Amino acid sequence: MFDQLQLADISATVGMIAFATSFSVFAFIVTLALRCPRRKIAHLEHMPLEEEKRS
Amino acid sequence: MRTQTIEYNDRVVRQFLLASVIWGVVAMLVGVFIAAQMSFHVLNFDTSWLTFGRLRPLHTNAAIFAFVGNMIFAGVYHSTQRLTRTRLPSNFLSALHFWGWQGIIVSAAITLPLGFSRGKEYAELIWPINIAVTLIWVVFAINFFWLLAVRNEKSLYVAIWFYIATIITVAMLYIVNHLQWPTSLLHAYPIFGGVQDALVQWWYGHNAVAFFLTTPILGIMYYYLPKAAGRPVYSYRLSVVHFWSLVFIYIWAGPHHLLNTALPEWLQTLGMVFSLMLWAPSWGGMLNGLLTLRGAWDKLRTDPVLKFFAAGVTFYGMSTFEGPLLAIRSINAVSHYTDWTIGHVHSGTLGWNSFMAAGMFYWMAPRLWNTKLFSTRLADVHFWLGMVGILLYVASMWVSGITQGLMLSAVTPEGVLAYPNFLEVVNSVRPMLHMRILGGALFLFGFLLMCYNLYRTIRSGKPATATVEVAIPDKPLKEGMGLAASLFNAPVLYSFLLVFFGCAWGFAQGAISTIAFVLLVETLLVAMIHMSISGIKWSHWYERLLESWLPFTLLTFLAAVAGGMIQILPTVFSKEAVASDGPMQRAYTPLELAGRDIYVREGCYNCHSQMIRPIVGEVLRYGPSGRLTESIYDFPFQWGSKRTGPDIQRVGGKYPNLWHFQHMLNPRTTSIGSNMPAYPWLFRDKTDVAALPNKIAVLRKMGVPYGPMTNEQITASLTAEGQIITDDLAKSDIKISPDKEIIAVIAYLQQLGKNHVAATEKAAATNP
Repeated sequence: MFDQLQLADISATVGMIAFATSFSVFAFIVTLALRCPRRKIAHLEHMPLEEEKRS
Repeated sequence: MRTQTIEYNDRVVRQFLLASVIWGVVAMLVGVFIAAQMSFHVLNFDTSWLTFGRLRPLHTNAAIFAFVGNMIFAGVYHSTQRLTRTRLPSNFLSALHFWGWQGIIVSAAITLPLGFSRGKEYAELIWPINIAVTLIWVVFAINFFWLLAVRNEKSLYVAIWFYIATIITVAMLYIVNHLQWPTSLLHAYPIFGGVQDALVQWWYGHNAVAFFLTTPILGIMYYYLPKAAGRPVYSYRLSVVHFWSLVFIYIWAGPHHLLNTALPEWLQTLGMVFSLMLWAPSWGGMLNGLLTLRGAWDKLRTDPVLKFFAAGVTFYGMSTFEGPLLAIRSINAVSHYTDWTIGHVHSGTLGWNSFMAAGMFYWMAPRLWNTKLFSTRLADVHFWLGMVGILLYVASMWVSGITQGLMLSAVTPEGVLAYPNFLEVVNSVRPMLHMRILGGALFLFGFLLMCYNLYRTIRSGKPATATVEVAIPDKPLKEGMGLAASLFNAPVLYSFLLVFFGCAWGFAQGAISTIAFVLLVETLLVAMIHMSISGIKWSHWYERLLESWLPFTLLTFLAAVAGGMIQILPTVFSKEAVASDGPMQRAYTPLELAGRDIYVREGCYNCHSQMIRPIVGEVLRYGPSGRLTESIYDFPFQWGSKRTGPDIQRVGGKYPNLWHFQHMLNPRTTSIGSNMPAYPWLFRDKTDVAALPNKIAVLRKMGVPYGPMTNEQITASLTAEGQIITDDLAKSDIKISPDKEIIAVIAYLQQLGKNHVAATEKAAATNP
């Protein structure tokens, strides 16, 4: 199907669609991420701080 | 529920750490050496394997894949075992990964100086090594994902997300950019040519920086910075936003390396817009890192680890501010092809990568060898030497780059070039080139101090065994969700529909486009209403996704692959539309092709571009701006990214054969003050005629319009064309055989800018 495309014709469209779709999906995922419960966040953020035994 | 003691596999971590330190010295030593060659051309020693064009790829590959690569593997294996509370499942795969990677590096260190190169920046290694890289990367991926599959901790910390993005995206980038057709055991042509190759190369080149030099180091930052500061990351939610922003945006920004070139305008705009969008997440990440140190700033005075981390994260912020700035087309018009880009790259690799590596090494070594750091004071000296070294290096490159950009584009009121002689510009920045050597040498010296410090630290201890008590449930840990559940659910289906209707709206015409737009808006509204009704469920879906490595990996891959596909596919499949625009390139004659392959072998693209931009100063200096159709049969493309010497896209016919002959023998005889090395071996060695039939056959398969030619015809054509050049040289009392490499190089250079036919004669362009 791309054989039919003229680059000049799709210049503005591709940029616009690329921006719009990636921003929509990104905003969507980030919204869900920000709704992650506090208890979960507290657990995750302390994960690097766990200690280990060395011998 | 029972308790089990897990003993981590730190042997492989120690191995990667030591390898990173050793290869770091090699990379930086070569870097300082080739920086000195820019100031003192005699340091090329008239020796092929010590020439700048061959050593520069060695420097970049060693810095990226050997130094930073080994550092990444050490950090990933060390932190992921601890974040999953699980030992690496296979000692064999870990050892295979380590030794395989070192074997690749040694192969690269041998082949690159010998001139075996693909002629594409950061992708120079030849095809057998490419296959080895791919296989070892697969070993790494299996080892890593196997660890995730058998982990004892359900949640996946954000550092692991960054590692996942690195593994899958680098695999995708590497494979696509290394698709090639071998002509012999040591040579191949990329399957993409001209603009397609340029686009694929910089999609890879930019994202090598993004997903090899940035995302894994960010993962390391999110693990080791809180660890060293003794407090959790400032905002875990911000780290989530940081991750998704980078994954969604970074992959689109590659075309900013080709601004103002013959690349289609829409791709340039896309690259620029997405580059500017990177400002926000990058600075969000930097601030998240720095604010993690809140309340612990006093430790910076005494703790070298935090000192390196704080400076490294700050350099990350500075570099990611400068990157989008340089991606603005008008600024890029000045900065591109100059030392400014070199300064930018080094503020990232020295400031961000090397300082983060140093912080990680100083933190890790005492723990891995169960001892104390030998000398905190020595580490402090390392820090300040490194800091002054970076500042000298970057500042000198800024001054040099801006000087080059402004001088080369300066035009007098009468409309002529203010500095018509390129060498005026070269000589005006010489003090900056000297300062760069000093900056690089200081950085190297500091790094050597770290080597000594680590050596003494390691000698004072012995390899430690790190263990952790883990509660093992009676039933095996279940993933948060399966692959099917991750794909077939409301959030993902809405996302898919939005992308589908968006594409239909943009690409279709008439009523279909209108219907698609209406459906797009409708889907968006329904999704928003659905989310507000069942928000908790959706959040729960996301929560479960973060506990499921396979679906998470798949979604990350889809996010990353979208950008590449939308940019690359139209250019690849609309080859005819591109080709019909302007004069068509003709196929190279056998002698020209041989000369071109020598040009690629010597790494001439490291200093000379072949793409004139539509900028007044450039058109006046070099001729009409470059067109896409003039390089469609260039496998690989040779547009270049730096002009230590002038652009040579239209150098053909500008000088007589004699000039090129003398210039390659000793550049100072024709260009007083030039810093280009001499190429005496081209006058000794014979052109590899035997390789040409295979090369031409492969190029023919890839669409280059070569007519049928027997081996004898190829040899006869080569000899006849070479004879014309040698006859011309003989008029100046120069006797040389037509089978010498210099004759092929002259033939190649003399056709540059003249090797095309009008579009109407396209059908008759079969050669020769």
